[in-house]
Amino acid sequence: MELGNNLKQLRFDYGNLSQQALANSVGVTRLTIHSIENGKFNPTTLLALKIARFFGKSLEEVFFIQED
Amino acid sequence: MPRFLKSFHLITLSLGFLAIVALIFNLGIFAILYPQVTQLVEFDPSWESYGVVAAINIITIAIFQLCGVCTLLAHMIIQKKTSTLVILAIVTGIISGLMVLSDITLLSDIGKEYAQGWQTRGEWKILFNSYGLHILSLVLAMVSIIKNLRDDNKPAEQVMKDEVLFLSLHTTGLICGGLGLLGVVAGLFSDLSLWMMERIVVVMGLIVLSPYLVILGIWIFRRNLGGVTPGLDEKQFQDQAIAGLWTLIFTLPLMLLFFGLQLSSLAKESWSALWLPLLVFSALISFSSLTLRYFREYR
Repeated sequence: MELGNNLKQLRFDYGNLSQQALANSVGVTRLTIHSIENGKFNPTTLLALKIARFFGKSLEEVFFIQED
Repeated sequence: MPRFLKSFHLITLSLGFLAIVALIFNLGIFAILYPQVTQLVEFDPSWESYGVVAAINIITIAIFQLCGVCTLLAHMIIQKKTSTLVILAIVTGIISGLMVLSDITLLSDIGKEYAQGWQTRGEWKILFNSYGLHILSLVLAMVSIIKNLRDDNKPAEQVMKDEVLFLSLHTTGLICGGLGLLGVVAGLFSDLSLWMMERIVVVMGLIVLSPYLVILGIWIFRRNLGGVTPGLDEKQFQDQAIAGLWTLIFTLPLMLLFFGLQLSSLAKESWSALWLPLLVFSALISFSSLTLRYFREYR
């Protein structure tokens, strides 16, 4: 099982928001956002909640479990 | 690029051209003096006046190194951009700037020993190596400054969490660790006495580590300034934590090996002065390279 996410789509829906702008809003580096988007890095619960809150979505709307 | 930063670059570039002339002039003087001093031939007192020019040239080179390093660091922090070339220019610039002090000491020693009728080939060798480093650092700094002037026309993007200094710190750690390790390995094969080795290890160790300490200092200081929020972000923290764990796993057996060598009769006398820098530089290389590896893996 892996952690999947809709970050890329949400950024697009949010007026083509840049990775850097999202990173600044949630207090991480651009690289961290890039790594989360590509499934290379699993965020902590706190960061996941911050990202979900930024987009005004529930946690499950942003992150989900991908079955193998 | 802000106007003041562009002015900084242009002033440093002008100083760079002066430093090139100064370097060529000094190398010319040294090339003429070297055979005469080493063969203990008496030379014309009119050469004294060239000594003043050589001293002014050394100051010009030192000022350029200082301005070059400050300009490149300011560009890195303000424009939030870095590259291996810029980091190499900063590292060689700091080491070369410190080596200017050693040049002054060496020239003073050569003068005194020549007056006593002693041989000074060793001092000349270090002096010419030092000038090789000055040339390398000058070229790297000039290329970096010209590249910055040509590339940067748009303002930097606002960044709340710094990643450029993080990358620079670990790249510097890798370069400094590598240089230090090379120096220690060279020391292992040299025939210098323990007394001499202890002094060289302390001075050269500090010189080689100084660029890392400068970037680390800026990073710590920068964290307390406005604009960038303090601390590492969670991914940077995780990358460093994993790198730190592997470094510990790698250095523990290394320490045991060094301890065994210290107890055995296999090690040379100078080993007691070299094992600690060998361990420090190995740990620095391991930590920095692994952090960069994890950092870049997710790029």
